[in-house]
Amino acid sequence: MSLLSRLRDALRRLGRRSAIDRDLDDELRAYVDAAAEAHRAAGLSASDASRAARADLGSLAAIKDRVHDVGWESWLERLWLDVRFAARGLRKSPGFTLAAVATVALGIAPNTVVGAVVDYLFAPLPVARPDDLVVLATARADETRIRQRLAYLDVEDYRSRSNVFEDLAAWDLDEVSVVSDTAAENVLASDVSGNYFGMLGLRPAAGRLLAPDDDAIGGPRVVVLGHDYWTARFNADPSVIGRVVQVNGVPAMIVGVAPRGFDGTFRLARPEVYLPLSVRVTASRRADRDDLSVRVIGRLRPGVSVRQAQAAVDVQARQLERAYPETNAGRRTRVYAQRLAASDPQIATSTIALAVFLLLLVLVVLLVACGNVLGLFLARGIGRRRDLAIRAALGASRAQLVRICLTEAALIAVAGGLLGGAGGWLGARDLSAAATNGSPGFPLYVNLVFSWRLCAFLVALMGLTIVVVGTWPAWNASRADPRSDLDEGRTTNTRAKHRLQSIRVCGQMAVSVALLVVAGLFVRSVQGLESVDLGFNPQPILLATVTAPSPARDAATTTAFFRDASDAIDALPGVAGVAEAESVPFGNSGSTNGVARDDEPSPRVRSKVKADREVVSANYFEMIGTNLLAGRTFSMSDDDRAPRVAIVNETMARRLWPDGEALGRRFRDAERPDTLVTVIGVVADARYRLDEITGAAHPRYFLSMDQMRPSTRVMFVRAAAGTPDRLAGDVRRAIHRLAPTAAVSDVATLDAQVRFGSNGFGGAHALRSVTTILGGCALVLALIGAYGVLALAVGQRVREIGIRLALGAGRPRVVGSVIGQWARLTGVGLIVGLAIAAGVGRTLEGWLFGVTPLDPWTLTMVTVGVALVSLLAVIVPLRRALAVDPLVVLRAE
Amino acid sequence: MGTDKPTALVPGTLDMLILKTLALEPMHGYGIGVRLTQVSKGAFQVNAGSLFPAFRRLERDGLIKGEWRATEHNRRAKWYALTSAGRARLKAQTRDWETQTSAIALIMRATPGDLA
Repeated sequence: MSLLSRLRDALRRLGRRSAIDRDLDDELRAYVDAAAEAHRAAGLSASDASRAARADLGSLAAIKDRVHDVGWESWLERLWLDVRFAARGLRKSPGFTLAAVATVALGIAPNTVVGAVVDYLFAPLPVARPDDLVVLATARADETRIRQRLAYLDVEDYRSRSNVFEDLAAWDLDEVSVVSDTAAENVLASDVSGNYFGMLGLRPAAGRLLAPDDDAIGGPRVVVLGHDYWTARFNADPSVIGRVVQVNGVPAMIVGVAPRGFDGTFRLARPEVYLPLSVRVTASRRADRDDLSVRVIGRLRPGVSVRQAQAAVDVQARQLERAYPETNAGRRTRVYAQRLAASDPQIATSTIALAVFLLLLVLVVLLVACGNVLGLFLARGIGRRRDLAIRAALGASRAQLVRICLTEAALIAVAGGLLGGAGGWLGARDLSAAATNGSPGFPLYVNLVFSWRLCAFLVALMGLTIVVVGTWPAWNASRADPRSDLDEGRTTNTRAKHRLQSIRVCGQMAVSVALLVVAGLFVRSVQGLESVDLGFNPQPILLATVTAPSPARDAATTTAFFRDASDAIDALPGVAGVAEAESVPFGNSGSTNGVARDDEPSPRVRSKVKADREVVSANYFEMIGTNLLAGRTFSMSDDDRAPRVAIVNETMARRLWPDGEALGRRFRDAERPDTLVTVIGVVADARYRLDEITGAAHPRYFLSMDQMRPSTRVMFVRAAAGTPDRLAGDVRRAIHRLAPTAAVSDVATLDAQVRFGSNGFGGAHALRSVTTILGGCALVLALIGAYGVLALAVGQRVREIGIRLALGAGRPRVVGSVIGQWARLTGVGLIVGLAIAAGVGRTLEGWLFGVTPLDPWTLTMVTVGVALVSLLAVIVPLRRALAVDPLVVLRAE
Repeated sequence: MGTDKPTALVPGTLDMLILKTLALEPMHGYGIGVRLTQVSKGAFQVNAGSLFPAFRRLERDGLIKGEWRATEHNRRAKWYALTSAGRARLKAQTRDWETQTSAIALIMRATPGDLA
């Protein structure tokens, strides 16, 4: 019989169960009749004959069971029976069921949130053969820092001479202003090399995608729209192909739309438009081997591993080092699997570490939750011993008893898993929406999708829950002994069981203590970050990124527009002043250049000092609260016609001119090596980047806004009093009154940028929140567990306590014994937890700021805090123990 | 669930014995049990708890086929008959059985002299 027909047969039999039952009943009756007939023939009376026939047959039900067991479909049926049976049992104790399901849900929900985010970060790109994709990054032989970009010429060399890559594409992210018929806005753009879309194997949703010809220097400007942008701004109208929009004030033709679901190759941002790379990486930058100008994504040849590619690239890097020693000395290139580096190619390994850390964290919470459910099961199991014993006495096999326990655990796990999974998923969606929409300054794009991977993860978690929660009770059930368990007075094994319960609670306490220590370290870390003197005062500043209106975007008009804009904002009530800058501290953009004194070789060739370049207006330092230490700030006369001037920070002054005076000295940067810039002022060091918080200040120089005249600027609006975010609407309206087509974006406070931005303290804040919430959850769960054990202990000892009291033991003794048990649970939990935390803390060192893993303040606070809070668990059991009335107990005896 | 096995029966042979019984003539459930006892001269007492699951198993595998008919005492009973697949299976099993029993017999009859 083929498998298929067997399946069909089995299903048919399942469907016709009652008809088959009737048939079997008839057949068995015929058998009895025939047997009775034979007995009568042998000389028995009619009634004796039929009784004898029935006796020969034995239990009808047992025969029917055995007949049913012949088909494998009975397995399914039995499962259904088990489920119904277990469900009935659970319905009988709704309190227990509710508590167990809710606890499992609480454990699963955070797992779902983290699982969804991790799945998103590491999901393959929606492109052809995503597993072959790699990301390249630059490293230096003498540095640990990984840079996200490569020099364009290096990429060309790797591309043309490598036998491991099928192709390499260059790209980067950029913010551009897009002006269509009416709307004007700043959007995120991805500048991509001509082979980018081809290498990814993408097909356009409309029109065409960018081709190698589009990336030619000086060619006509073209733009490809992202699918979501096309839908949102152009109603997914296919006739936009061929239309011309202004991109950064230059006309560009829309030639096509990227496929739906493709959001670029950077996981945490979604470009709205795609532009040829030549727009950003101009001919001179392309020719500059010292300029790390592009991010690189590549495709490995079939059968080539990342390791092989790395080996080949290492060889090439050394060849380049020999050929171009002045730029490539010590330069190395790293190859990462794209999936692991998609969220941030710069920190591929730490992203994985972070993901693993978070997953472990939430898994621990689930285990603590499971511990509680297990406790509930075991506590219930003590009451159910008789129940199970009766079943065993009535002939239930051990396998059946085990099945009942496992099925109950499975029902709880699945119900809790579905509840927690749904809740966690909704929460994760909310979080990602908040991350995407909620923070104007930092367009973090997270588009969570419910994937089969997440689904499998949830199923695995439920499986784990079943194993943790079900195995122990099932084992107990398999040892159910009708003789001893039906004997009421005996309480066998409770001592051993108690010890196991205590171990479980100690484990839970230990885990939550460890979690809380980690949370405490992050709390201290954020405190450490926020207590650092930044060298400027972010509190009163509101930021707004403004792009000058597009028609006639010559430098003079731009300057005039921003002068008018500044005046208009300055005139608003509640505004104390306005400054302008090209980028913001702890922002996403900013450039670092090689700089050199005028008497040194060009920084293009080789520069000892790399400095951050900023462009600011004359009153910037006054608005932001950074002290001018020497010289002057920019003045009206430092305009386009005047010689170039700059203000440098202390560190740059010291690095370039160690001999002393920097004022009046001249330097040049790698961006414009032909222009000498004169230092007119020195400002105090301020911290603009996260690595400056932990390390030394970077060299930094500030160029004059009136001399650089960029068309997109960040307005630093200083509020006269109160919080600056009240001014947001007014600032927006003031600009639009002045020029309706000027783009205003990223209106947010500087304080928020610093504290919550992804390049600011946002990561530390997020870790603090996550660990604090999880640590709190774990502690609450552990306390419930401890309460359960203590309450059970007191409940079981009521008789003993009563007798002791009756025999003259004082109440203090009773109190002492309960407190003693509590102290043992808490004490052991704390000690083990602190030991775990000490081990875990060491691995977290890289994520901590201004606090050591063995921070005494954190350890003390957690110890005292947990000890005090855990008193909550002992209060009720203690009162119950004190309320024992010896008379009542003795009367019951 | 009972645990009674046809103790006097060589384990695994019940299906073959039922097939053989039915190969002689179609028969109903009780009749098969009686026939097994008769032919084995009372050595095998196969009870209903073993017979009925075996019927179900054989019927499921398409080796026998049941049909409701009247008995010799004019009662209704389910008569089982061998299908062609059942006949083929019986033939194969008989052959196997004979090979095995003669092999076992050889071993059981072995004397020290046979080893030389």
